[in-house]
Amino acid sequence: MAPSDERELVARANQGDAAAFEELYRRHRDWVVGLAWRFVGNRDDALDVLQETFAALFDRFPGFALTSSLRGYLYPVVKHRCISLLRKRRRVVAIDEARTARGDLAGELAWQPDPPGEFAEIISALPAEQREVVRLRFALDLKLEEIAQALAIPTGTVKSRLHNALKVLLKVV
Amino acid sequence: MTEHSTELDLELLRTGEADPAIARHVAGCAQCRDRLARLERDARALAMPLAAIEVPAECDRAILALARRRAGFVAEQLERRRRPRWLRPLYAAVPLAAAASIIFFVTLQRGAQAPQATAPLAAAATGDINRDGRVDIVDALLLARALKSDQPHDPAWDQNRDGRVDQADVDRIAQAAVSLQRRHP
Repeated sequence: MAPSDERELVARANQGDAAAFEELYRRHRDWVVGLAWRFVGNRDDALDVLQETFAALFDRFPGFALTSSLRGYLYPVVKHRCISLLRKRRRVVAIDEARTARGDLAGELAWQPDPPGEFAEIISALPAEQREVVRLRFALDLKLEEIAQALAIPTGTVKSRLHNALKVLLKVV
Repeated sequence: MTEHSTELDLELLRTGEADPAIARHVAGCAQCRDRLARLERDARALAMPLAAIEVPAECDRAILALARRRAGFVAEQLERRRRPRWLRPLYAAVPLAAAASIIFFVTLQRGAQAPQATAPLAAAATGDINRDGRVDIVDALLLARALKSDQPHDPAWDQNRDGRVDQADVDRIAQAAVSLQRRHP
């Protein structure tokens, strides 16, 4: 469930309140551009994705319904914008997951470094679907419902993937 | 709850998403408390705060301008939706009615300024085609112009009473105008 003040902001934006639009941007700007940087790996591209993401968000008004948190909504938007951008610029490089800890999320994206040390190797060894849940959970600090929304999967599936990943992580470390 | 908590239970407890029963069990179970403490330590190690990327002021300005434009659009859309449904045709009809009124009055005004030869001429039988109270060359010119146009001919324009309205009637008026002018220079 989204925080009540976030729901309130969305409700005001749905009424055409310019201050609410601006506040939504200010609250989530740094998170969006930071996430974009993780996917694309450079500042200029991350800034492009920032603009495109908020343009796409604003276009949803009026009538935008917030089912979980705005971050849960924004995550797939940022991710898909990054994929499009990388495809467009033909800068996608196949990443050999056996040799790097970066891995990829959609077969296209890099993920800027996972935590250094033993965790990096363990995370890279997880199945892709578990790895993404772990990153959303620990790197982006999202709740179960937010992860479910971000990945468009049921909460039970998130629990299952997280549970399996945790068993590996805690057993190995 | 007698069974120990799973890793998932502990993880949900860490973030405040767990069932209260799990919290009660962990509070009374030293083993689960240890596992929770270890999980919290590992979660800190896994946490990778997003890099702080500096956003240029012009980028902020562009996005905020977009936000304001969209807000204006949303407000306008809502205003349109708030209008009663039965009144909506009226909003379309008002400009049309205004345009029709303008066209009507302009046409009316042009009609008023048109030569009287285009109007039915009751007094035209006397040669006074424009009914200005006198017969002069202007009447002859007006009748000549009326003959060249497509407008229907008024029988009263038949000055020589030959059953036709033609150039002979124009000549007759012109002749009368000249005669009158000679008589009343």
